[in-house]
Amino acid sequence: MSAPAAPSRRRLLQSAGLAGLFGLMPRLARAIEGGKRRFLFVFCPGGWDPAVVFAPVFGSSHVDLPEDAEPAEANGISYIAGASRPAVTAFFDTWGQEAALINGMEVRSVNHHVCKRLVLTGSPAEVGDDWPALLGGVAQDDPEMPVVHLSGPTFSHRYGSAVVRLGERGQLVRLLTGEALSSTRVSPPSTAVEAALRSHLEATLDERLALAGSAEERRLLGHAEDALRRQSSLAAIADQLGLAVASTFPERLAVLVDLLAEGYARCGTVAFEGYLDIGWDTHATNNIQHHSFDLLFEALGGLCADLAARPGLESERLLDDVTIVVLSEMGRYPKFNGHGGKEHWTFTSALLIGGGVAGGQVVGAYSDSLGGQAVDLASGATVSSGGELLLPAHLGATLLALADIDPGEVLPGVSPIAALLA
Amino acid sequence: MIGLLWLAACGELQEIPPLPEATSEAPSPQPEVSVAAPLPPALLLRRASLDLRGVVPTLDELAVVEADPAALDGLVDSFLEDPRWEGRLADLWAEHLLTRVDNYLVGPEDYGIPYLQRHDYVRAVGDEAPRLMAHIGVADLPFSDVVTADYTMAHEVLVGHWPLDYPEGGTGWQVARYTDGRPALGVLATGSMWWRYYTTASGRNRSRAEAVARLFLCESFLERPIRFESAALVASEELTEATRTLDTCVTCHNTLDPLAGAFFGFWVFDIYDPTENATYHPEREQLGNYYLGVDPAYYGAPIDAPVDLGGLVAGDPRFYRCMARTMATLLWRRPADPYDDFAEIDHFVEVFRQGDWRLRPLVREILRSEAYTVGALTEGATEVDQAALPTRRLLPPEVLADAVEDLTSLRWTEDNFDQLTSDERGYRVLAGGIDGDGVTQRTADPTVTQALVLQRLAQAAGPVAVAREIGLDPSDRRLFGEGDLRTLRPGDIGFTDELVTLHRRLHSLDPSAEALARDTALWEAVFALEGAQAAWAAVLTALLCDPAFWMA
Repeated sequence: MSAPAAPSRRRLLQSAGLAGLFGLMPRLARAIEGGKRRFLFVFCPGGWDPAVVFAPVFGSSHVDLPEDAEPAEANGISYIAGASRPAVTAFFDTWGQEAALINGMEVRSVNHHVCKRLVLTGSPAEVGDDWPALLGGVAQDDPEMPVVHLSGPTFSHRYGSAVVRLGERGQLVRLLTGEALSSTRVSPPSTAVEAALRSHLEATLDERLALAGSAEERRLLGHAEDALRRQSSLAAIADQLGLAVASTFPERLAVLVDLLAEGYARCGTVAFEGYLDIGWDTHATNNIQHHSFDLLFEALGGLCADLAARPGLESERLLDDVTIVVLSEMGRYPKFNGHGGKEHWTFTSALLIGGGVAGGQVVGAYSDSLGGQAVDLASGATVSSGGELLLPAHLGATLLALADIDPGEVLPGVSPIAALLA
Repeated sequence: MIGLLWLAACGELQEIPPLPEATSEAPSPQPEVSVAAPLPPALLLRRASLDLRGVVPTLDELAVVEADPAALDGLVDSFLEDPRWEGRLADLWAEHLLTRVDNYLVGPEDYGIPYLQRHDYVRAVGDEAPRLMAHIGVADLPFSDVVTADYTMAHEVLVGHWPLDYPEGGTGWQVARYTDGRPALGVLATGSMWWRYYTTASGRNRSRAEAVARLFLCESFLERPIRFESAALVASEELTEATRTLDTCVTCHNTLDPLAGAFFGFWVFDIYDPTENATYHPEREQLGNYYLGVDPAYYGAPIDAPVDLGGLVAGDPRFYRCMARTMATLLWRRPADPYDDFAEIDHFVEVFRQGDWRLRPLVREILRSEAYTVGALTEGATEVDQAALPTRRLLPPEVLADAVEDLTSLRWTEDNFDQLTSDERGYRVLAGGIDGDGVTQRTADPTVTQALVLQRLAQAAGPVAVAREIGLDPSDRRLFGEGDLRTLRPGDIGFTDELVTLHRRLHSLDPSAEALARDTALWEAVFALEGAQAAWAAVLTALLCDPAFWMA
């Protein structure tokens, strides 16, 4: 029996009568030209301190800034410079025109788990899809890995099948190559036997689909067929995925860039655990964040240079195809505690870089007590009345808009930050 | 007697209405016109067997139900007496408690435990609390013991490292008692809980108070949106002062902080110190007042000594409702909604109460509910119906591991790391599981990594099982019938019987003619390449990859 041609995911879902798949989800506006933008999420777990780089609240007795803090401005972005963070200055000098800073975003919790959910999904609900899952789940160009997840928090529900986890120790590659079986002392099947098994499974899935008694069963089987198809595609790039076991943050970024550049993925997600991988939850020795920010911006600078040097799939530069989203689940309390650390804080910042982003600006602002200020979403300017306090949902709506997905259908009543859209 | 008084969050003592008196029959929620059709009895048997025992039904059990569908009830009752139910129940509670993580602040190396025991160590820590809840469930003890028991469940790997009177010569999970003077608080006194929900110098046990509220009362402080008036907050002398005086803070902290005050016996001065962490510190119980500025209390009721906490939780009706709702969530494989499922949860609570708060009647009733037994929906089913009535579920990785081991004898491990229940050296999350930390939702849909894990598992299990069974007396076989697998060929009497037996064993279904033809074609293709043993292994591998195996 010869293997049938691999169907596209959309065709497969349609042919399986899977209106139900989309019936269960918000009806997203999908078929829009330009909906091929790619996204690279960098997550800094633990809660970064905006008052190290993003919040130039000089002269306030309420906010403890770094001892080496100096006000700086480059390419329209005001920030905190410091001798211990030269990479921050280098980044804004070089890439400030491509970057936009969101300041004073209110997460409305101070618990790590809840804040991660809030920042990545806009909601504290235990069940839901994060921004990468949403963006990848409705990808128009049917990439093999709608979302490639390397590390960091991830929340998926309706679009769970869109998320391909590489495993932090290269588990996906071990599965693809058969190395995973080494401990069983069973050899992977020969190519011929594997082909026979695959044909059997494809025919089985066809039969099960034909006999399926419910839309739910058809939906699940449709995803199973889709998974089988993707498996072949991934096997072909196992070598490339093999690089995912790279241990450093810049190396991991490079893996994701390769996958985005080749069109294998729409979204990539990776965590940066900061200096010496000790995370950003600095209840003691907050100054560690100086080093963490320096390393972060050094890597981001390298990332931008890499993306700018590569041709894009849709644009001249890959940097114009890819939107980089850098965020953390919360901020840190304005003042030091007795351990030189800082506690949790509900106001934080996010950084958008690259494709579709109106760079060279700061949207939102901090008050002199590190609170958020209301913003006019159209202009990005802070206003004393009539504006909105920035929330993670605004960030999500902006990302959806960048992907040409109608934010109103996913986040009713939430508008994107229009000022950020190029 | 449970629940005489309820102490309101405002701190005033109030008399609460007594729980309803027992009635002869728990009232069932009035169903509307149903859009659900139940699974056929054989498949419902399979679903229950996998959920309660982690294995597929035997051929004998299948035959019993096929001959008399009414026998299903009795079989399900027997599953609840099966020794494997305790392990499955621990799996379910672990999914709720999220204690089964791969890393704790204190690792096995801190105790000199060798690397090859690392997986056992992290599971010994993480499973203590869910194991205790499971033990109370299967031993048919009142569920109040979950928060009042003076014992725990301990694994041998922690003997000598944690202060436990683990039975001499015992192995595996055993009832044991702590010897460090900790109060009788059931899971609330386990290392498992407080290593998972650790606290920091500034957290001051609040994360532990939140864990108690969320996990055992289904009421999370953290789901309340907070708005900081930042100017006022940073102008406060100190955060602790702000939590007592600012309106935006006291909403939660007037309840949270007193509850946190009950856990200072678990307070450590060095969160990485293995001895500090393993040991309860009675002398620190009073530190709550020093650090938090309040006396310990449970929603307004004073806690004179930490041991009081268990009785207060056990006397709180929210505890039982939360446990009933949670068990429904775990068995339904979708969240039991406090509003949409209100009547059904009410019914479960009543059944729970009539069973003197023992778990078995509650589980039995949930297994009878439409959301559990549903197998198909009518054309008129709405999107809401589809979400509320999941007709098919994926096997969680831990069930997959148990079921495949039961059938084939293969337990997939590497350096003693169970490959389906570990992420550090395995594929738990890739297989759709949760890691208790970054991934707390199971993957509900098949994914490429789930399919890959399953295929590799099947590719190992198929050859291992056939190599084992081919030399066994048929009466000792787990999978195959009476045929000589070395000599049996397509067309021989008995060949198709072996295929049918495999389908019934793995899928609880008779195969279609097309399926038999497909299996035979696979057998012949592999036989031509590698011989009979490999051919049977390939067929077994293929049937393990069939959705009829990994869905229930």
